[in-house]
Amino acid sequence: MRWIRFLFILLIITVLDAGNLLNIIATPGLHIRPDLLLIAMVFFASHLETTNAMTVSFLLGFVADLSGELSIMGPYTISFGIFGSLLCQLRKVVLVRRMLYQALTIFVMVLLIRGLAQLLLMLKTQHVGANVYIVLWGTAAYSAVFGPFAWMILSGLTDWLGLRERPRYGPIRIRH
Amino acid sequence: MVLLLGGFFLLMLPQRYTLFLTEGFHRILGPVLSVGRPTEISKIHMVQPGQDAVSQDTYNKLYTIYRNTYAQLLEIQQQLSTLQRIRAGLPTPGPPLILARVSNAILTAEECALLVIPVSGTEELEQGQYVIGDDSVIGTISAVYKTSARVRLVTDAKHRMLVAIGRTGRSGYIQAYMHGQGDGTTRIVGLSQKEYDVREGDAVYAAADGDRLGTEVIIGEVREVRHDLDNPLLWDIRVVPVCQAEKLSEIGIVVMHPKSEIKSN
Repeated sequence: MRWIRFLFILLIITVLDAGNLLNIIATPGLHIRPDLLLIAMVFFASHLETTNAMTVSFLLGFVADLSGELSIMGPYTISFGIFGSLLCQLRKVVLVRRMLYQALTIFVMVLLIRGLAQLLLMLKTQHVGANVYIVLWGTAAYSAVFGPFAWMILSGLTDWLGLRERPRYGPIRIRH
Repeated sequence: MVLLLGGFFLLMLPQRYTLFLTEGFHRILGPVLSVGRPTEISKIHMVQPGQDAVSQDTYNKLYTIYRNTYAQLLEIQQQLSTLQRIRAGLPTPGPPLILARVSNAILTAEECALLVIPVSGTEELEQGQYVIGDDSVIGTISAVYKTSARVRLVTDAKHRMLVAIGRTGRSGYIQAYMHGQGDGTTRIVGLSQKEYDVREGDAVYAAADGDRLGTEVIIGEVREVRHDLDNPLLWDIRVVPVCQAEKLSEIGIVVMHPKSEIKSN
């Protein structure tokens, strides 16, 4: 893992996620957009070894809190960290290669992570935002549709970022 | 585990201690973040415990009222701006004006008139009041209805008005009656060639009578001066209005003596 390059990619994703540029593809009215940081988290958790995956998950969660409009730190750091770690463990069971599985994984992860973050926010502020459920399901669906394409772009950067996939069934031994 | 504890620590911290982080982020990356289409919905702020808040239904009702009030404010600002523009065109700070919108323009050989809807103060209107459009007198009120009024333009064949002919460098005016011709021009007759010096380019003003108009206001300019065919000793003067009344969308009606003021006195 090349951390400097990763931080550069993280900066781009953060700017896209928090900035107005993504509004071009946002739905009118409720303003639902794909969650780029979460898609990135699912991608990195599926490609990195456990320690690095957990670190990256917490980092992405921290950035999600930092760039959020609510100015409350913590909910996404915790949610990303917990579910990123879980996903990393599950990678040994579930292979996220096909686009359909990628979409499904992103859909479930968005629901879980944003759901938990909303719960933590509610516990802290005693307030539930307007249209929470519609926005949650909408973001999950939109991210699931958009995710596999973002995944393809990130997959193209795998070598540049130094993400080496671990052999799933151990190293291949070549017999001479 | 350490990272998780760190996350909970951040969550437990009061918002005022972590606010600098998010504010710093948005301040540093603000210019980059603002590239693209602005967010349609306004920035969301969480209501803190103890802060005043209303339900979504109440908020929606209040927001609707706010938008209506804001629309009314814009309308009033526009009316005020138009009135100020008309007033600024008058020679001296003059009498009260009532703003009216032009709903229809009738321009035929038989009739040249505007149908106008006053924005307010319909009860102040009466026949004969002067009407100003585009900084010049365009006609007078010929009929007042419940919510509208009719303006007879100076070019109407039935219109007759006392005017004052002036020229730069000459003191005093030449007073005469001006008649509309129904063809977009007006005519002044009855002035003796021997007594009055009238030339092309002279300005023609609506004469101030103190009752309906406090000071002279321009109507048009003399386009043609020739001998009257019926009476060769008199002038036959053609006047063209400076304002094309049919292009106006708003006009001002001069109310020299508002009824409300008379009542209060």
